[in-house]
Amino acid sequence: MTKGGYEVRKSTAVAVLFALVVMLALGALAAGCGEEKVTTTTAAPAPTSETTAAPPATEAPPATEAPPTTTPAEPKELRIGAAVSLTGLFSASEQLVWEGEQIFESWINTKGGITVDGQQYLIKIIAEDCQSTAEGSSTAATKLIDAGCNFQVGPIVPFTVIASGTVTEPAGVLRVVLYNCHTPDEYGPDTPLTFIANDVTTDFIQPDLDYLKANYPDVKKLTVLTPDDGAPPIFMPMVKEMMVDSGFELLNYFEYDMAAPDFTPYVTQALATKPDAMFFINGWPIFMGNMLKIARQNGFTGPIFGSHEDPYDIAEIAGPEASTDFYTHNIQMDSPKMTPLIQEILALGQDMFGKQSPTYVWGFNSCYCLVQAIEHAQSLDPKVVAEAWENMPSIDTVYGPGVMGGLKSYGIKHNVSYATPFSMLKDGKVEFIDFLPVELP
Amino acid sequence: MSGSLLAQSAVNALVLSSLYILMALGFALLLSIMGVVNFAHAVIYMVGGYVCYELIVTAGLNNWVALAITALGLGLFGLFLERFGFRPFFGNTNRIIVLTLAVIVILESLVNVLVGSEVRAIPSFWSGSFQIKGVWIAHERIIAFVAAAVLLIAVFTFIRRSRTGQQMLATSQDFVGATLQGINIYRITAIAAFIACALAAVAGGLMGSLMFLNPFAGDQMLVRAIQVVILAGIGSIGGVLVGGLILGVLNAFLPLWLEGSAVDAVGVAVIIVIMLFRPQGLFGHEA
Repeated sequence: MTKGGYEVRKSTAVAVLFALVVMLALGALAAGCGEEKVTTTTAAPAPTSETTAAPPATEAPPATEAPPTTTPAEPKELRIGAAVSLTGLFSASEQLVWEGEQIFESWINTKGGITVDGQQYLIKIIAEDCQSTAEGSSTAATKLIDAGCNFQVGPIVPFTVIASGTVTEPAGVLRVVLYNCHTPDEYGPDTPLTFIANDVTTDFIQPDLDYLKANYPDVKKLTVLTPDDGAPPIFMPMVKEMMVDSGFELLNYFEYDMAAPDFTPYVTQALATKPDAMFFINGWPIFMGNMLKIARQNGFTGPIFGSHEDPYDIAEIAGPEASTDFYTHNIQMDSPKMTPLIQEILALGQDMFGKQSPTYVWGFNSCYCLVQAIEHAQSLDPKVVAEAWENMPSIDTVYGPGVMGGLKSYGIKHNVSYATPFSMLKDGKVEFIDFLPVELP
Repeated sequence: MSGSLLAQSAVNALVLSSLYILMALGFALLLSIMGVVNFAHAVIYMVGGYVCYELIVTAGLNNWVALAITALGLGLFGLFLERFGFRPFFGNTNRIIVLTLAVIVILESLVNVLVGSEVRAIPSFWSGSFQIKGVWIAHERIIAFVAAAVLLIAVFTFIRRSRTGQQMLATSQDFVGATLQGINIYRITAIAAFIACALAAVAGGLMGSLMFLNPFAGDQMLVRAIQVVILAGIGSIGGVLVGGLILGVLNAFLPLWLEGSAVDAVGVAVIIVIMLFRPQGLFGHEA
C-alpha cells in the first residue's frame, strides 16, 4: 500500500517494538495516575445513642447470625449478580457501588454467610458491565442469568433498569434495583420480582420541603433541574403537588442532557426564572457538582437541594468556594451519628480499597436487604422470596430499621423505606444534619 | 427570553467554541497532512486532563506549569504515535483506523482501571466570577477562552508564516509534490502529530477544570471534533475556526429552546442541512 509513492513499512520487528513501547508508555502513565486519592483515612468515631435514630444495625439482624453449629453439610455458594456500569458515563459512581457490593460479600462471608433450610451458603457476587447503556444492561442481565444468578442487584438509571427488567422478569429472577425515577416500566405491578432497597426520587422531596420551610422562611419560589432520562414527565407532577401543598411555587423545571458538553445553558435558564431555591432532582455527582459550581459562579446564593448524591464527590467537582448551602440525602463519613454498620462498611472499604465512600453504603444496603429476605423466606426460589419479602413486618437497613412500603405510590409493596440521612455542604465541608423521617411510599 | 440570558449564552458559545476549535484543529491537522483519521485524538484529550490533574493535585505544581508539561508530554506521545503507529501504515486507512481504535481501548481501559471510581475535577485556574450588565462571567471561563485563543493564534501564525508551516500546508496539498520539492515529509508529519496531541491535551486540561474528568469524556468530544471537521470541510485547517464556532453556538443556544438530548439531535440535523448545500463542507474543495 502506498500514499504518494511511499511504501508502507510494516515489518514484524516494528510492530513488536511498537507494542513494547506502547506498554512502556502506558506503564509510565500508570505510575503517574495510579496514586489513590484517599477521601478519609481516619476510622469513624463511635456512635452516640442520642444521635442514632435507629437501633444499632448490629443488633442481630438475621443475616449476621453465626451459622448453627449443627450445619450438616459443607457451605454451598449462592451467586448474586451485580448489574453495574463499570464503563461509560455512569461508571465513576457505579464502580463505587460495585466496590460496596464486594465489601458486602466479604462482610457476610466473614460472618458465615447465610443459612437457608439448614444449609449454609457463602455469597458470591458476580458483576457484569451495563456499559451505561440500555443494550449493555439487558446483555449484563442475560449473562448473569447464564452464570446462575437467580438474584440480582442493580442497575440504577431508569433506562438501564427498564432494559434489565425485560430480561430478569420473564426469566423469574428477583432483582433489587438501586434507584427508581417513577417510570412504570422501572418498577410497579408489572414487575413483580423487582424490589427497591433504598429511598428514591420523591421520598426526598417532602423532607426537603419541610426543612426548607423551617430553616429558610423567606424561600417561596422553586426551580428544578433534572436529567433528561424519560422520568421527569412522570414524577414532576408529583413533585409539583408536594411543593404547592407545602406552600411553595414551582416556577419551572428544566431537563438537561447528561452527555452535554457544558451544563451552563441549563443552569442559566433555571436562574433566569429567579428562584429563591433550586432542586437538582436525580443525576450523578459529576452533573450536580458542575451545576452547583455554575450556579454559584452565576451569583446564585440560595439553598440547593440534591437527591441522595455523594456530597464529597460533589464538593470535589464544585470546589470549596461553591460548595455551600447544598443539601443531599447522604451521610457524613466521619460523623459520630452514623450507625455502627455504616462505620463498619467504611472501615472495610478502607481495608479493601484504600479509601472510603458514601456510595459503598448504598451498594452494600441492596445486598444486605436481599439476603435478609432470602433468610426470612428460607428459600432460594425467587418467587417464594419475593412473596416473603413483601410481607416482612420489618427489615434492617444500614441506615437503621426499615419497613416495606410502595403500595400507595407504586401499587406494589416492594420498597424498603427508612429514615433518610440528610447532610449539607457548608464552606466545602460535609456536615451531617440528621436522619429524617420519610412518608411510607 | 431576556437579553441577559441571550448575552450569557453568547459568552458560553465563545468559550465552548474555542475549546472545540482547539480540539478539532489537531484532528484536522493529522487528517489533512497525513490522511490519518485519528480516532484516538479524543482519548488523548481525556488523558491530558488526567495527567494535568495529577501534576497539579499530586505533584503540587502550578496549574499553568502543569498544563505546559501536560502539553509537552502528550506532544511527545504524539511523536511516538506518529513514528511507530502512523508512519508504518501511511496510506493504509484500514490499518490506521484499527490502530487508533486500539489506542482508544487501551488508554480508556487503563485510565478506567486506575482512576475510574474516583470523581475528579482539575482545580480552577482562576476561581470566582464577575458581572457585567446582568451577565455573569466566571474567571475560569475567561482563562479557558484566552488560553485557547492564544494557542490558536500561535498555531495559525506558525502554519501561515513559518517555513515549516508552509511545508505543512504543501504536504497537506500534495504529499508527492512536497517530497519532490525536497521537503522532509516525516519531519513534517512528526511536527503535526506533536502539535495535534499537545492541543488536545491543553483542551483536556482546560475542560477538566471547567467540567470534570471522566475516562469516557473523550467519546463525546470525538463526535464534536468530527462534526467540526466535517463542517469545515476535509482538508481545510482554517475552516475549523468557523466549524467550531457554529457548533459552539448550537450547543450554547439550542438548550434555551430544547430539552435534554433533543439538543444533540437538532444540532446534528443542522449540520446535515448544511451538508446538503455544501457536501464538501464550508471550506472544503469539491473532489
